Amino acid sequence: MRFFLKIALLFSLLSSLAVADLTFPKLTGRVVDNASLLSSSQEQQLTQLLKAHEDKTTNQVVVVTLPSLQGYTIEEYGVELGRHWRIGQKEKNNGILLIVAPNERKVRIEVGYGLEGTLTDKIAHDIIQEKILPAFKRGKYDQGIENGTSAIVQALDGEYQVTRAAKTTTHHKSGSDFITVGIIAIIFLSIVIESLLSGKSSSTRFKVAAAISTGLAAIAYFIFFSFVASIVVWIFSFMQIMLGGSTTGGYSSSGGFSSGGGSSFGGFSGGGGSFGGGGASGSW
Amino acid sequence: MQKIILGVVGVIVALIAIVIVSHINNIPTLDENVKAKFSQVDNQYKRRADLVPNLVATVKGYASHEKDVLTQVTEARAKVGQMNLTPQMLNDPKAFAQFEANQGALSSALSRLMVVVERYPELKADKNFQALQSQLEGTENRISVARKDYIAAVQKYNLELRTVPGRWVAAIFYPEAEVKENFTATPQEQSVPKVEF
Repeated sequence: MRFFLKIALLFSLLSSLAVADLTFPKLTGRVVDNASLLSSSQEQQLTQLLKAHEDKTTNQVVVVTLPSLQGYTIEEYGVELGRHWRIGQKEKNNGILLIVAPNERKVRIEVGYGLEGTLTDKIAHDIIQEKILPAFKRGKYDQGIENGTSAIVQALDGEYQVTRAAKTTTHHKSGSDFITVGIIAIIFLSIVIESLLSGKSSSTRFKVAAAISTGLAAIAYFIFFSFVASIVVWIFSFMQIMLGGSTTGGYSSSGGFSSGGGSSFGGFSGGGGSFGGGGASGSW
Repeated sequence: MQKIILGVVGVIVALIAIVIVSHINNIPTLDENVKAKFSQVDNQYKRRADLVPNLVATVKGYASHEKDVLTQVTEARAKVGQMNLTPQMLNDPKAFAQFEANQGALSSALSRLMVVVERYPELKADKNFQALQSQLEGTENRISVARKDYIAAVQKYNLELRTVPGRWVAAIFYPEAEVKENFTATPQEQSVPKVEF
């Protein structure tokens, strides 16, 4: 019996570990200034502006400056980053990224599915051309970012429209639910079979009762260990995030004891929204 | 001894059953995902086609004698409009290739139009044209993203059908399921972002 439990434990641990294919910058807040274009007081002001906007409208706007686009176009990078951080609320997809890559001299406003009707490509294009690029061309990145951010918030103020459906459910999630149920079934079945077969005497009814109660006990043990395993995995992911780098999507649920979701340390996290490539780019 | 063997066999059978059962739901789920992603591709292509009449009219206002390229765009757009998408197309290589070819022809015609536009600074400065241009750029980007999503969805679905144990499950429960067509990735699409810091 112990042997099966150990296998079940291992299985549940493996299915709970997050699979991280790509690494992106950490979502440390609403302003991620990795290219160091803003002073800390400017960062704070922008953060407050964006937080107030989210409180009012649930739209999530994030400003991110990057030292490098790693060889990708800002359009490619933008949509992947928006999806990875899951900016915007899950059902509304109302997220916006203002991305500045000063070394590649590219800027982009990435608009989530749900805001494409409000912050149209044309408006995004105009904001970039009229509010952001003039300052950038003079080398005043902080001013350009501030102008652009307030223009974005103004354009969004008070309205949002859902124009596209939310993401479809993923294969991974239902797979791991099945694994959990499957493991429980295996344990139960094997215990029951073992008990039934290992009998010296006694009536069949007694044997079946004993077998089932042993099986239920095994499930109880399993749930307990699964819970412990989930906590271990959670601690593991927590440490991984603290030590730098970030996982995609966190950890999957194992019997409903742990919650999935992106990195949520530091008070601000993506609401689960997605992006489809809307918005506009500019360069200088 | 016999009891142990029986027990082990029982467990193995249970294991196999669980693996198969957990895969039964994959095929329809992935199939629906493929269809949804293809609808999205279709949406974005339609959106692009819808921009064309306005674009052609605006360009004509400044460059009416560029008849060749304007006709090409209009005709390419007409051809695209004639082909309506159905889910069956996803299994039909010829129809799928035709769809891709039509859209590709419109893409080429539009690029040629943009090259011509470069020679007309007044047209480029026209506000209406600029609006259309940003919409077109945005739509092309959306098409690109939608295609990538579709490619990923089809890969998952096809893999499920072609690898074990998905193929056994399909053989038993979904005999009509077929491998689906995929886009031939353009050079830009071939670089799947593997961004690392």
